[in-house]
Amino acid sequence: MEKSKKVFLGVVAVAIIAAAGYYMAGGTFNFSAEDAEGSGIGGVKKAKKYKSENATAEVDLEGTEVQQLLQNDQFQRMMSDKNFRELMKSPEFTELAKNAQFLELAKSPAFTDLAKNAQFLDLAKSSTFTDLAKNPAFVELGKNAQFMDLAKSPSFAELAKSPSFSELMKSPQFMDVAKNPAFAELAKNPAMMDLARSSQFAELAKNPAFAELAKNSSFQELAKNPAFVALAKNAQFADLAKNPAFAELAKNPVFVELGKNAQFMELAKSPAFAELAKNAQFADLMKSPQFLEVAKSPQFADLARNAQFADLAKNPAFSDLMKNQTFTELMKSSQFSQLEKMASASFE
Amino acid sequence: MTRNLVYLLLTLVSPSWAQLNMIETKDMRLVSYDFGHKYVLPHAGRCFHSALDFHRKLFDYEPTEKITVLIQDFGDFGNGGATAVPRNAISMGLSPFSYTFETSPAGERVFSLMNHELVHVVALDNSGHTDRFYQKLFFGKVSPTNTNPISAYYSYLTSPRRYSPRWYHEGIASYVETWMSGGIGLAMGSYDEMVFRTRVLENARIYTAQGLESEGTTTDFQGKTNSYLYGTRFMGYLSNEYGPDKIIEWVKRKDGSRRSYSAQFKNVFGKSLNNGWRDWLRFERDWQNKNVERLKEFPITETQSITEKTIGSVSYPHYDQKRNKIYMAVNYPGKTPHLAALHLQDGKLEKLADIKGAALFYVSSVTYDAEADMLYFTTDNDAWRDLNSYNIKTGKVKRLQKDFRTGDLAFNKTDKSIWGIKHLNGFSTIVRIPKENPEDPTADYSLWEQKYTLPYGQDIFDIDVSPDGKLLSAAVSDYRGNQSLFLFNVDSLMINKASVDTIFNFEVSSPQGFRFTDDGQYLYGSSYYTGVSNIFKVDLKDSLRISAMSNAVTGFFRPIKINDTKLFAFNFTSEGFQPVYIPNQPLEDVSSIEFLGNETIEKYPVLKSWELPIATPQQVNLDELIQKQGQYSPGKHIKVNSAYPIITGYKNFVGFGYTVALGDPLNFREFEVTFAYTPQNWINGMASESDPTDLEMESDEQFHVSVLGKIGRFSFSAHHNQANFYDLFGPTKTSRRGTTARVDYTRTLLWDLPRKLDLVLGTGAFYGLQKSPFFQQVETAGYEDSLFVNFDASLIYSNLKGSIGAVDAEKGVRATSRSLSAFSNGQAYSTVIGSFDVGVQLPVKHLSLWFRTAFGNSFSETLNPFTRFGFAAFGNNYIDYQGARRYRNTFSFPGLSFDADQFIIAKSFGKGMIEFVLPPIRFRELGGLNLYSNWMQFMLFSSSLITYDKTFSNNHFVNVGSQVDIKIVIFSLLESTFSIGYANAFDLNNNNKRFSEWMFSLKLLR
Repeated sequence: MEKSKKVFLGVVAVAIIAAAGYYMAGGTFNFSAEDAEGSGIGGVKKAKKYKSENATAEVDLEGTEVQQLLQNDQFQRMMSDKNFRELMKSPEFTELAKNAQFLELAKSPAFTDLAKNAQFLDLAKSSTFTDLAKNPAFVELGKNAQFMDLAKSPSFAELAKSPSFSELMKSPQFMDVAKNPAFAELAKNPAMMDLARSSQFAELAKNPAFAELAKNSSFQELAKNPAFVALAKNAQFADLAKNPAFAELAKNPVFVELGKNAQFMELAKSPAFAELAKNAQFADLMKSPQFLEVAKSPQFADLARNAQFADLAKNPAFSDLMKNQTFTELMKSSQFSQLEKMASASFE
Repeated sequence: MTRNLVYLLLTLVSPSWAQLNMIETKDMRLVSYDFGHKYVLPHAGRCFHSALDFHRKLFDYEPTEKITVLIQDFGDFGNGGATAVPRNAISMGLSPFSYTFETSPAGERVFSLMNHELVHVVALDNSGHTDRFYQKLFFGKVSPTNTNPISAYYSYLTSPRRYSPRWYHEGIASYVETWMSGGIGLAMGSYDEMVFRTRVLENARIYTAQGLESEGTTTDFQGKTNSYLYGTRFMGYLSNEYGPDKIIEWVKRKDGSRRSYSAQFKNVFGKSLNNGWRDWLRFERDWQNKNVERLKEFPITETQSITEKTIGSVSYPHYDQKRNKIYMAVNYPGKTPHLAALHLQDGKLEKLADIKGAALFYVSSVTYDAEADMLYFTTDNDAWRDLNSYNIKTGKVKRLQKDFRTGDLAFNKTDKSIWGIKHLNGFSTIVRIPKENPEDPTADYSLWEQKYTLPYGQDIFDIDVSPDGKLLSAAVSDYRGNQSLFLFNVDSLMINKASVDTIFNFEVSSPQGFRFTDDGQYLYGSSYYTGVSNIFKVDLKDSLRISAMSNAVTGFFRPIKINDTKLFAFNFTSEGFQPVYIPNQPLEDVSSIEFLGNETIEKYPVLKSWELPIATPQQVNLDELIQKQGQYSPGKHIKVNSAYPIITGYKNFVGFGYTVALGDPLNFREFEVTFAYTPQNWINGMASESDPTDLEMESDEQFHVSVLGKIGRFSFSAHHNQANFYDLFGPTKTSRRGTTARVDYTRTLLWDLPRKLDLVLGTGAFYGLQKSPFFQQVETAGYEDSLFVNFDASLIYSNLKGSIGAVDAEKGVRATSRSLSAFSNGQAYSTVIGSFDVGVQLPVKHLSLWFRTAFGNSFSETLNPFTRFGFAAFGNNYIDYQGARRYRNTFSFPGLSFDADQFIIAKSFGKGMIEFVLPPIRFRELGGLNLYSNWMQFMLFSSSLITYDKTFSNNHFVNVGSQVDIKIVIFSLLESTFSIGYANAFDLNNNNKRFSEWMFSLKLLR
């Protein structure tokens, strides 16, 4: 091959590689007017104008990255929202803004959906929920599907109001019995509960499931428990007892442990909790470690009580903004306090 | 530094002063109010110190005090302002400049604004030893007030160069700024060359120094920009002819220099300013004729006029093929700015809708949806812009977004979105305005989306979207003044990325108004690449090849391809832009011109040494200079601005006194305290003797004290035996015996200029009154020992508009309502007053017709200082300070003078007036540089007044009269109005008894 041909092919190869590189890089230029020197326009005599060649210094600015957020449409929309401005001034939001878990949580779609839910806000502001969130057992339980199934059962919530049930939940025997499949089987039998109420145990004894259960020492102990006797007359208890989720849960030592917790029982009887438990997002959120971390924080409860937050939570722009990386970064930074001032000043 | 600026701060910033932050050095207070501006503060501080050091050397200047710089973002385009009287202060707007027609140079705006505004401070604050003597004598630089007109004289003694025309100040600032920026500025401006080339070519008038002030900056479509154009050009000529050091010597105010700018001109150049100006005009004609010859080296592009009408400033036009019309926004003298349709068939210009808040050059950003027959346009173009729609079929205008701060609109036909450039905190952001709003399907174009925020210093303008919606063309400038034409990929912008193709770097010449053709194959636009604005075509299918389409002699702008043979364009003329056709034919050869600035720097290379680098932290260590950082607290910065002796009037006596003015540098807080004394034997021989109470003065009336103040939205006043300078001259008396104190709170409920609604709540206490505090003819003897406490509430709405060249509002509405309740001795006395004025523009330029109405009622039959209304006279004194057109006031009644043998006092009234305001007559050369008249205007009016009062009598009066106002300017800055009026009044309840009144008045200061 002649030398000139080799050179030509070399040039072509370099050109192809350069073009491929350009397209692989997405064809994006870092645009600068300086990079595109005017090469002239055919037939046109460019005017001679003095311009110093020395003017090359860079402009040194501080913290321009925050402008990406300040120029953002969602942020601007929020800044024109009185609730947002009020919220930004609120100490609880300011405190939470420093909490990495909250910021992580705020990005979650489940949270932003749930934040619109009135029951959630009711629950979040209750001290019971806040205290419970500090309990590791509750945290563990929150991840349990059966618990969420149970929690949405109206019977469970109804029953939780009963002092006898609370008492019984503390009894290890009850829990032992409850996890026995025979007990659940028996509970399905209306006669069993009727009998239990009438104390006609002779009839009951004919039932093979009862026979099975009767052998169980825990059941024997339980049967002597006045709380159980009292509860046996309760229709909701009957419903619950035949609920497989309850039986399943009863096997869970965490549930057993929590059953002894007064706050848990408080929560269990809360209508908001029962209502919320039906909500898929809540179930998702209960599995989120960030949620339970944040839920422990007293500021979270304060925030839930904040009327502006409740209003704002319904605003899609707020959800979008909370997902904005620059905003969440900013919230953690010292600049956030100045942003709060801006919220109070710029749009009065 | 205007009061508007302070008002805006009050509006935008919370009442809490804690919001104002401050960085303080030995020479500077840098004040900011917005977190979003924080990024630029160190840079601004460095630019300040770098520029100040430069000016110290160039002008041999030392500031008399710290210079306060306010960083603000009150407008969508960069702007600045400076003053040195009474305190040194600069206001600096952060927004990108408007590059329309290249009327502003591109560059780093904080750097160039700081360089420019500091020249103003230097020119105003620099002082000779006599100035400094008077500054010591009067405890500072005196700011003239119209309540004590003698203060204007003191002001001249302490700051003589303040009394120089604006062209002088803007000329030197723009000239020096250009070379400090290394050649980027108006001294090298293409638009500037075009303006004077066109005037020479058309043999149009180039104003004299006086003509420029008296007419050029008010009636010309370029308005106050003429001060910059003429001033910079004149400085450029002087620099070219005599050397740059001579213009610096002219501006320097040092020992041995002359007090007046015109006397100093003669001192430096050895000839009068008028002669110097004439020499420049000769030079300019010669210079421009040579440039025209250069342009004629190749054939000049022929134009075909569409209409003979020149339409002042114009927006980007849009072609409606269906109707053969061009839609655009226009602004020209005699008509308020409006959207217009130009009929290409016959050249008729049809008005479509008014444009509120038009910009001087681009008028409004307009875009067009041909399919939906909708125009979208911006209003409030000098403030924070709004988005509006105009329905071509129905003529309905609708505001879509308020204060959305976006312009350079472009319509994307594929998805019906509008694209634009938003200005906020000094940054430019490409935004998309989707048609649909998912939250409100009825609210079209009510949202916007950030697509790409350009780095600081890169400004983007004149965008368009290709017909297929895939490309967005734009001009982009950087802080070194380079300007390029770019193509952005719209798909990338949709995911907030910028993928860009550079079409061409026009360097310091701006690519203007490049728009896609309907087939998407070409972009047509203009550029001053040759020094003259010519049309260029970019072939998008042929390697982005650029062809020149014109060889203009003045300048072509904003082209639209009409068909394969012709283009629509605007041709620059001395009266404004004229719509023309030019051939759609590429040219082989296009000529260029020479720039005066270029020749000057070659002749005087010393100008290269004026270049100042943009200060870096290495060059100016701001941290070392900072003495204090914290909040700007107006109260802590209050000091005596000035103190001086005054003359005053009390009843029919002459007195003397002393006034002390205090305030902070940004005028958030202002106070004025006056003490005066009136000897009992100093009778005023000029005053009317018709009122016997004015001829008496007890010894306890001889001392007068007045305290006036303003703190934020509160203003207060207290007077003991209130005296008034103007009571020395004429029948209207405002001096009163007694003691009064008053506090007012003003809250602006609507600020959407020109629409404005103010609520004023006030309370006052009055003791020792002999007569009504408002009506001198309502005497109420017996109440000298009564204390009245008064509460009042007013609502004042105005929406008044005028066109270029107007000297008064030409159309609009003004309405007021006021209720007052006075309490004394357990009794309440209430009154209500209302007024409604409406005006319309008549077909003759600047002719308008007004209807003015008013009514009032007092709810008490008791006669005391607060229960009656009085009507009389024009209301002007021979020497005056209040509005010259006082015959319009509710309680004026021209024809029935205060001296007449009848007066009108009423418990209730109704009044109506019809008024013709005739076009002003302009004087270009009436007087000299330091005293001239620039216009006069006639008004004709007739009113009818019906009053009811059981104590006095029921009246029905009519009057007919006229007034002529003649504007006089003293020392370039002190505007006064001489008025002559005559009216006849007729008492219809008394056989049409006739009364007549002449009025002569000189209203001092604005």
